[in-house]
Amino acid sequence: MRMWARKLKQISAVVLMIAAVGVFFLIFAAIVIAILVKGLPGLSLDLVTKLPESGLYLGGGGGVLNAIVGSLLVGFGATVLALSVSLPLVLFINLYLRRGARLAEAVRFSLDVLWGVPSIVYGACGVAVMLAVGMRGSLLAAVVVVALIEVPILSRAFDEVVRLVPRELDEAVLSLGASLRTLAFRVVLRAVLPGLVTAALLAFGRGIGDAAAVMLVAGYQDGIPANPLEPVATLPLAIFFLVSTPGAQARGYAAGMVLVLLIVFFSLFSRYVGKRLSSHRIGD
Amino acid sequence: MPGRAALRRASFASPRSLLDSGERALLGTLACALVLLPFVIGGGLLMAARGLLATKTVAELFAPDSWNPMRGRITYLPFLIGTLWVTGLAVLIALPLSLAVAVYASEYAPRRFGAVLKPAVDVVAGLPSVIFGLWGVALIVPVTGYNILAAAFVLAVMIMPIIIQIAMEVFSAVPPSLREAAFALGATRFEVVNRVVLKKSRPGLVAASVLALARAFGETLAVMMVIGGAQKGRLPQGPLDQADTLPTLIANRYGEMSSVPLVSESLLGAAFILFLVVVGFTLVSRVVLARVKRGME
Repeated sequence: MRMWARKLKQISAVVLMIAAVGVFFLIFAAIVIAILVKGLPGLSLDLVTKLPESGLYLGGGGGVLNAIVGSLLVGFGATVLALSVSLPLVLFINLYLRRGARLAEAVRFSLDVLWGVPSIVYGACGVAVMLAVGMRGSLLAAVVVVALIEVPILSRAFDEVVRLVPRELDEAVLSLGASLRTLAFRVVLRAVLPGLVTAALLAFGRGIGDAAAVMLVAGYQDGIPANPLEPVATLPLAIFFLVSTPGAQARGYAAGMVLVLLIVFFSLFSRYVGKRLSSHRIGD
Repeated sequence: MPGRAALRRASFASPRSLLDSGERALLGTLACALVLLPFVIGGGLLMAARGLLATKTVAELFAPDSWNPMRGRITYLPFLIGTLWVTGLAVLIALPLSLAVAVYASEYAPRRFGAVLKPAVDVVAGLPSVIFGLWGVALIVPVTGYNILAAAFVLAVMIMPIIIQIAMEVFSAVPPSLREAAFALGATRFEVVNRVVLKKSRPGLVAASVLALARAFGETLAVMMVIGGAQKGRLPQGPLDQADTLPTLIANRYGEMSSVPLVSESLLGAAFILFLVVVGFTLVSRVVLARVKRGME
């Protein structure tokens, strides 16, 4: 092939790629700008500090405090529950089993599969169980189902960090006569704490953003649940209902802004905490 | 690691070994339970839906019919076709764009570009689906209307981060020596990318797209917000038609689960189909990806 033809191909490929990069950043900017432009007019102090009054969805007064608190409750409960499964699980497969153990590989594979299962399927499972035992949509059901969604996210992120801990550390600790429990929960856990916090906040972000599963199992109410067996509202669903209602669209976008701000806040917070906690970090 | 095994054996006789073995059994049970969980989910959904198979054959469940459980008419076909339209179009839109971005970032651009791109991709990947739905309602729907195309655009944006992230990993697994050899033969950068890097990463890129497809297949709320919905499960005629997908079928009708006969069984059956397809996709892509990484090391 002639040299100029090859050069031409080279140049046009670069132009096309830069165009693609431009489109990607344009989409990214469009998401931010659309939420800002559409959300700002509907944003008010009432929106985040008041419970819905009658007719909020028809353009009446009140806010979505019930949904904000509900999302935080579901996200927090689910993350604590997921943490109490993921933390021992990941330490077990990394430290109690020998390297490359079948069980450890099976757990990782299962986590991969569970990670891919869509939220709506977890929700359907939850509904199936609830119908069988005659339970209605509740905060408790939402916490359990969202915890199931979070376990693979949290475990996989935590596993990546624990795997990076140098093996020499195990030998040094065990040769001092410490038990595996001491090694896992007092030495390694301390070394990977920043990674654990980041993983937990990642899962928390997924938890408060989840909509499909929560829609099926959480029910919905205009108040804040007084006990775990009451139904609970969440922010994504409140946004969905508001935007689907012609008179309340502006508030839907504003509530969307609140959700994005919450998620951005928690992801910045996780970075900050990660840095603060990294004083115990070993190796890199 | 003989060292740790030996150490463990040496402490076997100590008084605390009893406590240790109890704790080991407990943790082992937890791990086994997690391995069994996918089987429990799949098996449980199938069991819950088995009443449907007692009244309908599999062929009837995928026959061109309308959705009217009140009259005992149940078919998955319109929803399956809706899902295929939406996910297929989404991957068609997202794949070339994402690949171009990934190739540019890993083969052409200076390192600094990656430092800008990665956080942007992470942010988009971390946004909840309702935000993509909002974006779709605000910017896509005014142009396209509520239909399959709008849902495909929204989904395309949602899966772009997945494809970009995995594609960049796959590209970085291609040994630099291969690129250097091609450069040494006088190839231009485009030729190196086209004939060496892309060729070598093809299986990995297929896996990335399959994983993205799996993600799109199960997406619910964002799709629900822009796709419009089909009346009585009419078969979608084209990309400009309104439709329903398997996930939106479940999300729209779960309220009828305890009141209308067979709805519970048929919705849990839809969840089972979703589970099966998504798990299949995930398994295939993970196996291919693991093989690709091992083969290149």
